[in-house]
Amino acid sequence: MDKKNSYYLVPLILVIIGIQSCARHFFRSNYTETNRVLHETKNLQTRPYLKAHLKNGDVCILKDSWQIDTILNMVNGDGIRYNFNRYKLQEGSISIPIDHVAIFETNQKIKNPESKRIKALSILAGVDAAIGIFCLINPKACFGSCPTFYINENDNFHDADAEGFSNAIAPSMEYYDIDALDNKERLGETFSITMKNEALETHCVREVKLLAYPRQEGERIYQSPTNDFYLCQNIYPLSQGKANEGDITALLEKQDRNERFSMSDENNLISKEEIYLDFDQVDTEDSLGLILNFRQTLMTTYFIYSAMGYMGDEVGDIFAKIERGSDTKEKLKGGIKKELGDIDVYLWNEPNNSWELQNRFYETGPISINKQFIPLKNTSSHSKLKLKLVLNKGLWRMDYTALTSIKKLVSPIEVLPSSILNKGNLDNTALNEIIHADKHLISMPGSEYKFNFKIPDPNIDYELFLYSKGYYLEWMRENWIKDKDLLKLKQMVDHPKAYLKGEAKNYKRYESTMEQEFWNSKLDTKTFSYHEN
Amino acid sequence: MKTNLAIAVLLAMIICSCAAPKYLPHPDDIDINKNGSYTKIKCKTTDDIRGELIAIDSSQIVVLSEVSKRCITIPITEIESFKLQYAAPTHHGWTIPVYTLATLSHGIILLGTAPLNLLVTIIVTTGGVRSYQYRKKDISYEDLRMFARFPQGIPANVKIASIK
Repeated sequence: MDKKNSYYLVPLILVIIGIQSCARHFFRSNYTETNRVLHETKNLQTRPYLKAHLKNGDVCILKDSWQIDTILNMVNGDGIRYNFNRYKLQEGSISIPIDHVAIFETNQKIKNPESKRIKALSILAGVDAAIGIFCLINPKACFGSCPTFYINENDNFHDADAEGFSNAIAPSMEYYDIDALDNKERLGETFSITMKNEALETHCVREVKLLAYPRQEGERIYQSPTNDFYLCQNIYPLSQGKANEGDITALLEKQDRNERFSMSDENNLISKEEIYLDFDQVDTEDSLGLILNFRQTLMTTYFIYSAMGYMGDEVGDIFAKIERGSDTKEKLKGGIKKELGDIDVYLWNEPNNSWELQNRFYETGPISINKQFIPLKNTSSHSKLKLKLVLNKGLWRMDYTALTSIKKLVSPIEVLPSSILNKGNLDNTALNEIIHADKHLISMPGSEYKFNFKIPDPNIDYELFLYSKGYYLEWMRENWIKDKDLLKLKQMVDHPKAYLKGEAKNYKRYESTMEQEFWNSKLDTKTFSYHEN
Repeated sequence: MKTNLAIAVLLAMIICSCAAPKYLPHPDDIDINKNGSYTKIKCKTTDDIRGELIAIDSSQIVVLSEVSKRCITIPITEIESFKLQYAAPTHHGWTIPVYTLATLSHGIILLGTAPLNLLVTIIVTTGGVRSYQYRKKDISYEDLRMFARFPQGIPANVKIASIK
């Protein structure tokens, strides 16, 4: 059975158990003849209580030690006798002439009448607890962050094709984000992409549009971290990749979502590591660029959630302060983010015997894999290239790297959505909000909007990029409020170095389970998608 | 949609939290119960009647009304439907809000787990009430008499008006 079917199996079992728990019980028997009472109770392992309804309306309830004296025609036993209004008349040893009895009654005990209901509730509690624990150790998986975009609308967040404006956690921090969609060839007349709010957040989306540029066979267009677009051709694969743990070539030579990542330093979260990349088959005089497919680990998510926890019940006041233009916003940009740094790319200069900084990669967000590119300087005279990546330990995941030849710098055209579907229905209000840049489309948890774009010329193959602009408001969680610690928040903002050193052990505890969960759950989620076509 | 959901939850909780009469035994004590079962009778032409089932014969049912505290005789032909409760229900109504609210810790997954929790807890809760019940379709009038205070019928020496 595949995993998708198992998602339906648990609810189905629970509902079946729940419904079965409504089954009727039949347990009571009445007898007007004494012999039938004797006959039908003689083989019972546990003798039932006997209820004798007397002709005068009294009732005697006899414990399981009752006896019927067929010689004296008496019923004897210990019990209680009640009158017709059910007031107690007698308690203890009772003898009743059989001819005073109108009806004998026996009842079978209902065995564990609540067992099925308790079983259903127990299973449900177990499932709830398991999901709760999973979400506690892997909040990103449950609470997500920022809008996620999917070419295949049925994919889950592990297979997101883009995530928009992850850093824009307040209105004043709104910005635009461009993500390569790595789309397949020939799109037809219409291209669709679905935006989902998979988090407890309010997403305020100002713009969503496509950036498109035609490509011929063998050509690709890559986006640099500064949002310049380069028409490129030819791929020069990685010959060897080395990191602290050894040879990582197999992890980086293919776009297989089998990523290389490291764990953070337990003594200080600011701790750099180096990755060495050798390219031995660069037989070209063209200018070259480095392609890198990467994303972040859950480290930055941890800091966002921690910061909100430190704010506690003052989260609203603090965000209002940020909005009023205090220097907090700049500190947020320059604090932890600056200390953790980017992925710095160095090229080995043989004549100078030194590493030369080329450029840097950076993109916030652990969900979708960014496919970016940086042009390298002074590469045309080499058939072999050595590159070095310097990055913070435990912060980045990398899937693929290669070199490519640059043909030219290009400017993609913009394609606005032609229609928007909200849960399958045309939503012209949403379209109006997206097309007019002075308005926001508000997307609440669980919302899904499908954006349809008309391809300018269906006969041309385009490389597509997704442009999204907006901001989002993270919802405060009740269990975060107890973590309020304004001093720690101040340290995080004003003294990020000290904070990152002091928080290393706490993060390490979180990381060891969280990353494992994330990685494991990733392995068996994806079944088939356009990536494998 | 959300309003309908809230109303459904509220109704389920109200229905399931209705207190059972004190004379109804715990499900484990059905064999030592001295009273008749609790019955709700929907009549064709008169008001509904609720109370302890006192006796039943081939043509009529006697119920000790919980409202008037007096016995009322209802012709069987006048009965549209009835419900009989022979044991005090186990109330699982608390699980509806508790389990559903617990899914808040599931993040976005609550979109699936909250309805599931709601569905299962409502089924379990209503099941907790209904599993000690018979309805007209479940039991014949002949078998129904076993659940009366006087399964043998009203004793000859007992005046109906004196039954409390």
